[in-house]
Amino acid sequence: MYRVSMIRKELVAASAEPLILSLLSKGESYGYAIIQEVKARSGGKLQWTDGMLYPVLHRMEHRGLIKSRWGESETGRKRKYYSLKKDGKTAMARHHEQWSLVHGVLAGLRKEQYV
Amino acid sequence: MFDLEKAIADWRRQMLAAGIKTPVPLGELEIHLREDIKQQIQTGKMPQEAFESASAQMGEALPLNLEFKKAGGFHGWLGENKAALNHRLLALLWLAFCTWIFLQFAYNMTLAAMLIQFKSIHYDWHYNWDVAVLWEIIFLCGMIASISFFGGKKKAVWVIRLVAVLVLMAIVGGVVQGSSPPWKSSLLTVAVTVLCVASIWLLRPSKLKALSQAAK
Repeated sequence: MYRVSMIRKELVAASAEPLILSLLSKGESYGYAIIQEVKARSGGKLQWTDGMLYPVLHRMEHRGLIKSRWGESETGRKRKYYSLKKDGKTAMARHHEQWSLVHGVLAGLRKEQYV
Repeated sequence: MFDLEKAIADWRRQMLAAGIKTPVPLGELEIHLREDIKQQIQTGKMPQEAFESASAQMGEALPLNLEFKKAGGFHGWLGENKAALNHRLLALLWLAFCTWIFLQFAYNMTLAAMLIQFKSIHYDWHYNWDVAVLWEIIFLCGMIASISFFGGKKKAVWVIRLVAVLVLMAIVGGVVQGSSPPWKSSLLTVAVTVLCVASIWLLRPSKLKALSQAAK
């Protein structure tokens, strides 16, 4: 059976921003939850070094794509919640367009191989 | 016996030693670490095992600090894109230039005041106080505008452009009249002229408008 191996770190790094933007488009979230959701959705194949998520979040916040606020969890634990800003939505649309294009090209080439 | 709080305190110290000093990133990382440990303990792991796994998953302190520096350090501080970087470099150059000339005028004015007070100069010597004070005000405005522009306030551009035009006029006027600027090096005159022309050109309203539209 065909088995998807762990995703290369270059691709993990390149996909971080579009994935974060897309996850945050569903509503505000915090670092730990973002990582868990990416892990779950990729079946554990897309693994980030947990700490590396935060510099990416900070960079995106600095660029005005997302914003943050300190809040509390249900158990009263302190958490930093991130949410999408208007510029983030625009950036997400641009990412989707570009990744769809790459996916389209790859899928077309793959189809040709099996014809 | 394994002490979880002590282990987390040691981990914190390692992060601090690596340079993750600001309270926000370190606090955020610790919250994440504790959350991960808690989840792993709930799935049946022993605290020590959970801590070791969570801290390994968090990543090593030095590469982490490097990433934080890239995100909010010098690169972030100077500006994310090329236009922002150029604007901030221009702001820094104007701040340096205005501060230097401001201090030079202040020094000359103090010296002139002292010489007049101690009457150690000829009475026919004349120091042009009005012009000196006017330039002091102009360069003070230039300093304030540079700081504001560095902080991202686009309206400060108008003041910087005005100061650039005035300095350029003073240099050209000086060349025509044969008088020298407050500095002696002709290379510096060329550098200041280039700075003025570059600022007037790069900070023109149409260019700034195009940049702000592209950013949107």
